[in-house]
Amino acid sequence: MRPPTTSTIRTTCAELALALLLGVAGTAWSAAGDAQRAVVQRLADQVLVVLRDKQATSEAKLSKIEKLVYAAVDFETLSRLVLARNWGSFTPDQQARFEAEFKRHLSVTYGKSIDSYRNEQVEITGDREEARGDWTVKTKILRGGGTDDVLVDYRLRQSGGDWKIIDFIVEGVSLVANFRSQFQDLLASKSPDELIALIREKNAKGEAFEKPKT
Amino acid sequence: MTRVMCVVVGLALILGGESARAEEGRSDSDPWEGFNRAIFTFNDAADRWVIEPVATGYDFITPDPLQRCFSNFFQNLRVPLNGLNGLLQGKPVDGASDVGRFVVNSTIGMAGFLDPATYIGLPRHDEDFGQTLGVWGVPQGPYLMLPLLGPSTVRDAGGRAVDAALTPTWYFIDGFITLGSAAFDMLNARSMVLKEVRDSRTAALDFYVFVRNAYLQNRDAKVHDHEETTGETTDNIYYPDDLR
Repeated sequence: MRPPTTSTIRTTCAELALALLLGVAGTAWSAAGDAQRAVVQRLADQVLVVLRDKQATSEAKLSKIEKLVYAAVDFETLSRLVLARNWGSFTPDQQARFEAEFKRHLSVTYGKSIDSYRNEQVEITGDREEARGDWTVKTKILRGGGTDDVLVDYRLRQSGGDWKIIDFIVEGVSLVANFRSQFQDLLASKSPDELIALIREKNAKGEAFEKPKT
Repeated sequence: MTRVMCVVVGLALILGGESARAEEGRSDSDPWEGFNRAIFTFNDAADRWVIEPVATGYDFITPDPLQRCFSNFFQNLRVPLNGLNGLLQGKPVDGASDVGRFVVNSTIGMAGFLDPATYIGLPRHDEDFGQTLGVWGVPQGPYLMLPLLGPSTVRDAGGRAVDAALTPTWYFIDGFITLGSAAFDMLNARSMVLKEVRDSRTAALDFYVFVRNAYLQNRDAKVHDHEETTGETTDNIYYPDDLR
């Protein structure tokens, strides 16, 4: 949360009292984060519309959600952050292939969850500016009547005037940091091409695994 | 007596443990990787061959609301411990709220099987002694894979021992019944995350590293109550070019 200015202290006090009385978390809005919250809100709204569609097949839903996510996420930055110091040792061709396979990997693995949607809602609970211009938008996925909520933070970075998502932090676990630790470990013993082949193999297996169900 | 020993050993491990930084789950937080991987292989096999199949069968015959009720019941038993740890972390409001939560759920909530407290604004506070130590500035220490209990660190394993010693059931109820109910608690909890674990196994390229990193990040976030973490950690993640 950002430090409150004097003008907001009164509202903060009122919010706090309300929060203590009702037990709901007060929401710290900052006008500066409007554009960033809007990106997350729009993505959540659009994805929820697709998920709630009872007519569409799982495949149709997945391809719609893929389009929405690809538009909101800066996958090039995300890939570069995931590889970190190893990014430089990949040729431009390897970087492109890595980005493509990694994108597909996320789609294959997280796409499996589409059919387990149980009317969860998304609520933006706050946002904050990070040290060097990045922005974090905090959300909560509401499920199980408040007992099983999941905290999801979105890290955004501005590129070409637009705010794009560069990381998803689920219950404090950053997707970028998690995959980075795995890739770092694998790249200690494998070449970039071997790593890309490994992800491709895993993707093919994931897709084959899905087929009998559809 | 054995319990006291556990606590002493736990504390000795914490205080004597080298202060490996757990930042972004780099392997320098896992000096005992060989040992840990061996235990992990055992745990993973036990889960695939015994625990997951049993949990799947249990999940099939048990209605979801009942699973939720059992989970509520066991969570309610831990609320006094959550509250105590809240107090130890300097959060008296949370501690007071937990007293109210325990009273409400133990009575109106039918001995904890239901959770009306959440609806009237007394949410669960996920606090344990491992987190308390973290708030007090104790580093996580080396990553430690516990047989059957899963991922931990030297700090969190010590915290677990203290939490267990502070759990009153051990002193009043026969040990086998307590162990049996702990096993049932575990089975019930496992049956509620069948899909999540299956998905994690497919998503991970190295499941061991996936679990280690997720555990360390999640515990760090919990110590900070999901608020802003230190700049150093996030700079490592989001500005890797600086490290060159």
